[in-house]
Amino acid sequence: MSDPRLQRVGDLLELRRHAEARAVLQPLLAERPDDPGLHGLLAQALLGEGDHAGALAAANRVVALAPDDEWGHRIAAVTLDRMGQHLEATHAAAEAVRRAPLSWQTHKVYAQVAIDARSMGRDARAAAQRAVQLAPTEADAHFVMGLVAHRLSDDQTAVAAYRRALQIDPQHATALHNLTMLESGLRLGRSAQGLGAALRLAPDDELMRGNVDVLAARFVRRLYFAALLAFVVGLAVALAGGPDGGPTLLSVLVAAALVLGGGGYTLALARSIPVGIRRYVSGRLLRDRFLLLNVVLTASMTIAALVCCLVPGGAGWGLLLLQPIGLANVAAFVWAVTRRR
Amino acid sequence: MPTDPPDAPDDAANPLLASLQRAVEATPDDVALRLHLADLLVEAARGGEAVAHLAAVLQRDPGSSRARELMATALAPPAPAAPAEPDPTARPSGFDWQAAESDLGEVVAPMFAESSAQESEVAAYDVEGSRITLADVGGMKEVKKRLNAAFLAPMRNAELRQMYRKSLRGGLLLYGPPGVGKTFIARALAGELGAGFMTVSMADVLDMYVGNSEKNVHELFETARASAPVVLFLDEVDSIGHKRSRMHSDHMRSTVNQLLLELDSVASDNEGVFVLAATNHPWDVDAALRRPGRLDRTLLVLPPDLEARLAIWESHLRERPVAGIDVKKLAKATDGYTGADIAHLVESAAEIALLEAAESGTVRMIGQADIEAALRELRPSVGPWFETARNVALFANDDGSYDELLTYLRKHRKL
Repeated sequence: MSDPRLQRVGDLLELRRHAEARAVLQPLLAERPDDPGLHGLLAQALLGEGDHAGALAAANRVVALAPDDEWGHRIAAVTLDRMGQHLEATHAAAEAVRRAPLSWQTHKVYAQVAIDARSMGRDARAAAQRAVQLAPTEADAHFVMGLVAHRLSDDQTAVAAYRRALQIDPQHATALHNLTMLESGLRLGRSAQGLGAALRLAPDDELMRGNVDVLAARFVRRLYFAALLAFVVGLAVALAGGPDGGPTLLSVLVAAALVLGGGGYTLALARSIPVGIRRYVSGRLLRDRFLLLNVVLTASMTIAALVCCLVPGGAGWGLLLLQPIGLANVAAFVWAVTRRR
Repeated sequence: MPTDPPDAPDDAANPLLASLQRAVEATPDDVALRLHLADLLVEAARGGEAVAHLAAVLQRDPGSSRARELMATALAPPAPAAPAEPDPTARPSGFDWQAAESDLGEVVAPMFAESSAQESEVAAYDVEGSRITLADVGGMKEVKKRLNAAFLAPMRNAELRQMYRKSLRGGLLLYGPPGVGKTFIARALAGELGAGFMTVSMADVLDMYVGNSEKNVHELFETARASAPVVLFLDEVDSIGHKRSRMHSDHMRSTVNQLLLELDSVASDNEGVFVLAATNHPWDVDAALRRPGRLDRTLLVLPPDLEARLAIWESHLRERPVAGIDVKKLAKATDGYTGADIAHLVESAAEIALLEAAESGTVRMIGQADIEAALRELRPSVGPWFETARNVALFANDDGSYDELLTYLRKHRKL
């Protein structure tokens, strides 16, 4: 027997509908204010909503109501970790482990918080290994092993652990995301595909969407530098042909390389990106003024490079455009520096 | 204007109230005493009498938040009108059974003992008649068009249906943000078909005892079959049929399986049971429920369009004392607001006017300024829903299930 309302809370928490879970919990808590299980669920809901102080208070209430139970300590550990109090978090997690040394979840949480604390990498790895030993068929145990190894730069172990987690649970969005980040490196297309697959499983995940933003910025930056290089090369080639000279074989070849190489790369990359990510990035480019400036600059420099290479007297035009393009680039650079700060 | 209940008990029936009335008359400046009396009057559903006392309290102590709260409760609009069809379970008028029950609740033992915990909590389901039709739904032309294409046209044209071999299998899943009137549309659809209307929140079907939830689901469908033609409206369908991969409870899984069994049964054997379901979270609905023959057609119900908003504003303002309201302007200003939001706006505006009237002692109408003041305070409630919907439509729309939503988001620059 179990109260269907409690089941509903559990389901809502799994579905990340934390506010709704809290709403279902409120009357239950009014009926049974001293039920530690209810306070534990409340802590989870509040944690999901980002109310860390509330979550910690609820977790402490669990500890007060059921001091011998590991659950309250475990929730407190996760909450403290999110609040940036890593040392306190490890103490709470250690307390949970002490109370339930055979529970894989206590070791998982210990590993998870210890890796955030300074110089506790070895402890974190040991805890993750213990979690895997205790629950070899739990995707989350392998995931935390992957996370710890990832943070310790042991990429080989991390990849293997994430893969194992995904074998057990192919819908483990975070494992898929982390594996993508680890494996794709600088390959934008592959990163985008992996992120698209992970976001399909967890469309509301802010971290993943943040990484799509990073990807979009990286893509724009790459095109920007390619266009800058093309403009410099185009101008140099045009100047070599004299200020009033027409297009030379070399300048036509440079223009062709620019169109075929740059255009082909952009097109191929755009095609390899999942349609949802493409739409998201397009919207992002229009909303983010800095990225938009970079796109405009990229287009301007590409056109300027083509003018230099293909138009008679291209060198003169190039020199004329050099000043505004240069100024715009300086402005973009200053903006980039201040933005980063 | 709100009125006292016609059969409000007199003070002789409630000696405490009578005594307090006398005390207040003796010490009219005693604010605490008046407030207490008003509180009791509100509790006794005698809001009309409480208003005068609360106005007196507010004149003496304008900052009293308790008095404001009570005033709002006392002057809340009367309960909605009774259903068009007479309710077979309704008590004859003339005696207030509820009041009697509440008065005697602690003195007399209940007439019937509570059922044993092993038995289902949901024993029976009501079938209502619905007199509203789609013509009563203001605006929302696109929704009506889709309803006609997906549901009404095949149902009404039996010959054409036979000619084109179009089956009546499957149900319709209405989805959209909360408060946009999905239930109202379902009810209107029942009226349009001349069918009975059964509505049940799937969260209420769940029972803590193993086997009872399945029994409840079966009973629900049995009642529907016995009452055909009927529109069976399953509200909050995600609370039972959500993604099965995420469900840990075997109990819940078997409830979902029972629902699938009943849906399949409805599809093959039972004529005249039209299944409609609604959810705010279609992405959390079990994929098995959306397979062909089950809830295989989806209909996006969005916040009301201009025409619908006009109708909603007019409907909510109709029974209230209003003056100088520019409904068209309000309808334009509330793009993105749901019907529930508009109802809330009207309530807030009424509260502003009421408190001012209570404080000044002069009754005045609800004006445009009151509604605009309320409008400045209340943002559309659908914001968070669209946040999630946008992410789903962008990243989890491989099968095109959310194309309609995507088109709307693009059109309204919400992407």
